Amino acid sequence: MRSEYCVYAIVNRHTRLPAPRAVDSTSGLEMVPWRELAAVTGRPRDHRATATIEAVHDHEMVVEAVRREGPALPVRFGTLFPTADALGAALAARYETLAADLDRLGDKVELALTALWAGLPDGDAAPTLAMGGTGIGVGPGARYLLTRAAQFRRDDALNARAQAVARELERGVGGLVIGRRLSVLPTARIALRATYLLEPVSVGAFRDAVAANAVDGGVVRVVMTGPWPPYSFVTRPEEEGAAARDSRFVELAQLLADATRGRLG
Amino acid sequence: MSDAALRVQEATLLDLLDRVIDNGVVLAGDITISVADVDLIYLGLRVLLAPVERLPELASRADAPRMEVARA
Repeated sequence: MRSEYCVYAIVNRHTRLPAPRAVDSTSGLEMVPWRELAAVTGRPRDHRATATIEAVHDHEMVVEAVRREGPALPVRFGTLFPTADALGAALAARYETLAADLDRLGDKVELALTALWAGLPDGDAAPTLAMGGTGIGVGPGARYLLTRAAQFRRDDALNARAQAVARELERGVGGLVIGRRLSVLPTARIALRATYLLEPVSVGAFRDAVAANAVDGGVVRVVMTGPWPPYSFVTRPEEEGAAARDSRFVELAQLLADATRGRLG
Repeated sequence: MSDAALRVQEATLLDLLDRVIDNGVVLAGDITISVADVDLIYLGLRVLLAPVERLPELASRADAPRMEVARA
C-alpha cells in the first residue's frame, strides 16, 4: 500500500464532517488542519486511487457531501499522501492560494454546457475545377490550392457560426454568470463547450435563460450538466506560478525605479 | 431508456470524468492513480499520463516534459 490519506476537499477547519452514511465508500472521513484550513481526507476501502467509474463517482459523492456541510474546494481525484505531515506540508505550500480560492469559490457551483450542431455543418460547394471562363485546364497544383481554399472557407464559416452561438448564449445568461471558461469550436461537431461559475440560487434562472434562448431553436442542441463543485475555477499551480512571477517582476521594476530615482536625485 | 436520456447520461459521465480527473485543487504537484492495476502518474500536473514503469525512459528523452515524479 503506497498511501494512507486520500484528499477530497479543502474546507475551513471549523466545518463539520458529513455523517458516515454519506460517504459509504470510505472507512470514514478525517480532517487534517493547517492554520484556518483543513483537508478532508478518507481511507478508501481498497487503499488505492483506482480510476474506475465507481471510484470517480464515489469521489464526487464525498465532495458533494462535504459541500453540503459548508463551503469547500473540490480536490482532484487521486490526490494521495503517505502521512498527515506530508499533507500538512502540501497545505502549507499553497495556503494563501487555497484560502483565497475557498473564499471566492467555496459556496459557488459550476454548470457545464455543450452546444452541438443540430445538423452536420453545411459543406461548401465542390471546388471549381476550371478557371472561370478561361478555358484553361487546371493542373494538380491548382486543384490542390482550390481544395485548400474551399476548406479554409468552410472552416472560417463554421468558426463564425460558432462565435455567433457563443455570443447569443452569452447575451442570454451573461448577467447570471460570475465566471466562465469557453472553448469555441473545440471540434467540428461541437460549436461551444463552456463552464459557467454561478451562485447556486442562479442555477434555475440560468437553465431557463438557456432554454428560452433563440440559439436553441435549431442551430444547435444544448446539453447542460451540473451543478458541479467548482472544479474548473480553482487556481492551477501554473497560474499561481505566473502570478508569482508577475509579482516578482513588479517588485523588480519597483526596485529599479527606486534605484533610478535615487541616482537621479 | 430514451435515446435523449442516454445521451444526457453519457454527457454527465464525460463531464464528471473531465472535472474530477483533470480539474480540482492540485496539492503537491503530481497525483498517482491506477487503471487496471497499472500505476499511472500525471507528469507536470496535466501534461500526460504514462505508466510509472516508463518514467525513467520518458525522463531520459530530450523532449520530455518537466519531470517531477515525487508522489503526493
